[in-house]
Amino acid sequence: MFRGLTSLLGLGESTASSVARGGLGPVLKGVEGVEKAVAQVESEGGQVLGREITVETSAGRARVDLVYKDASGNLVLGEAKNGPTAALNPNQQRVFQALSNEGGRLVGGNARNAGLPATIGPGDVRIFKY
Amino acid sequence: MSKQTKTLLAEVLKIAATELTGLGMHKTKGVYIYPMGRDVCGWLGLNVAANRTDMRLGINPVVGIRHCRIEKMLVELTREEETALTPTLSISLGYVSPAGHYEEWLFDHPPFDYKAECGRMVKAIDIYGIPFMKSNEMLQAIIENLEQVRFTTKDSVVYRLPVAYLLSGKSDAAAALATAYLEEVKDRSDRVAREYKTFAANLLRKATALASGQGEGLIRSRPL
Repeated sequence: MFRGLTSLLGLGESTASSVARGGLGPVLKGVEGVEKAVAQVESEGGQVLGREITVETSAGRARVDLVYKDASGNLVLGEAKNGPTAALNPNQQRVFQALSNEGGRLVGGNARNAGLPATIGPGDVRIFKY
Repeated sequence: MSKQTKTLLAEVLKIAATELTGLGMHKTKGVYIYPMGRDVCGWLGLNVAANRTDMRLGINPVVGIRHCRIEKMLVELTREEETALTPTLSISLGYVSPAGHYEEWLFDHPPFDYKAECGRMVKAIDIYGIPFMKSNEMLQAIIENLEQVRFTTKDSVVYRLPVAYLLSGKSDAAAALATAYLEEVKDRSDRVAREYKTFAANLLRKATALASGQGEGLIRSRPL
């Protein structure tokens, strides 16, 4: 986490210790999956716009792991699944299908704070499977 | 979100609010505004990852600028109620820092020193975020970024670029762009397409009026 900023900010050892605790410790699979997805998006030329964004459709609400801009400038919703048994739950399946058919709304404080548009057109949620 | 994480989040956001106020920002409708000029203000959103499976809290500071005349005209042309202070351009702080990639500040429960970490996050906003805001203050810079789909997405560009053209006196370019995208969505009936059709119809009317010198004029600037 901002390892490169330590010297630029003149933060010295304090940041180094916080990085060790905040960024380098063992993490669980869910976090790993999201981190892999972020790395994949960036390796493809994309940029992450926001995390944990709630989408609302005619089939209900669900939260996606990330919203990003792909290399062509399109806004894309992504969900990371890490591990051989990780899969979409029934609610995610319904909501993502509705998103694919008719689009939906990005709602809640996280969508607002990521500067995202309120409505999105029909499109698939990208599943990052690891 | 666990009760513990909720408490930690409240603490961190409270500390951040105090520190951001110290930078000259104020919170309005859930986001932070950095006063800059008559038509433009800096914009900051704290996007929170509160459901991490490692129980830590992640904050992704999103920095941007809000061109008030663009956003006001957008509200007028879409006939939508303005419920949030939207940015005209925005990007996650990590991309405008030397790191050059997505970064999330991580906060843990004590004994982790989340107060100091919060201070470092706000310092990074000060060092990298505010210069980003200032470098995009001028309407021409905003137009160039919108044209390049930089610090924005295509979904936003199709609305904001025609409006920006209109505000800079380029009614023909505004009309051409709106007409081109209208063509793309003409056979669609989803909500986004319907909203765009309303927007484009209103924009084309305004562009025609302005071009013929009979327009109602540009929207007067109002803060926020």
